[in-house]
Amino acid sequence: MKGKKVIAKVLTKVAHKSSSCTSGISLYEPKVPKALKKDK
Amino acid sequence: MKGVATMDNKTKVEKFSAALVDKLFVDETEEEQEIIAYGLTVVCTTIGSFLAIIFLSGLVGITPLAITAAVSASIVKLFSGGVHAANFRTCATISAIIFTTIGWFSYHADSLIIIENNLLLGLVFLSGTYILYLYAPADVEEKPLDSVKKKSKAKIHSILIFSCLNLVFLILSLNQVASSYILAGLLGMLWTLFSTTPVAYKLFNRQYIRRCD
Repeated sequence: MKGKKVIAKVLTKVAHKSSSCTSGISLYEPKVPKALKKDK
Repeated sequence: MKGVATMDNKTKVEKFSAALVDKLFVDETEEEQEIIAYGLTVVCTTIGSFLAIIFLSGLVGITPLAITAAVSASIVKLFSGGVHAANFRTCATISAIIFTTIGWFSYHADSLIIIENNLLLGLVFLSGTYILYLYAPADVEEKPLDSVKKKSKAKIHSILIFSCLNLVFLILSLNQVASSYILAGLLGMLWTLFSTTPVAYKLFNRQYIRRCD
């Protein structure tokens, strides 16, 4: 389904962006998954 | 069971995201699911925190002011870092209380002379730049910045963004925008600046990660 692919793409982009900046917008910071740590 | 939902020591919101991703994105690899789930957690916690702020500030009738403070604080925090709550519930509660209080204070204190003659703007700019120079970027255990290059880049970016926001508030102030909004924005940024200091880490009972540069 096209909608699902778009959502997956957006969430992946959010994850990559969020893992490379200092901090999330909210006061809570989820642990960065191992798969994303490879980016660093 | 395949995927990220099987992992232990996760918070409720992380478990929810992982379970949802497990159900919706069956065709993706486990690694991709993990990344999507993390993205979903970031989105959910951000929306959740803002909804909590809108709800509480709505009860007092100062939602636009609270949102102004929260958005200003968030923009600076993206680059400066700062202390985080240990879980989402504490995060949403503290965010709602802090930004509603800032909004409420801004609504009632907008006629103070210190705001009218832009003295506060100058004070916030000078003290803020110094705090960012000393403490930014403030790491968190969950997402430490391990490269010195990245850290110095984040420090420069945080000071630049902070200066730009100050300039925006100065322009708004000179254009006769209601001073309560200027005050809310400045106090929101001050809250973020405070959150980068070791005192804030102690207050939240979080580990302060010393800078290595």
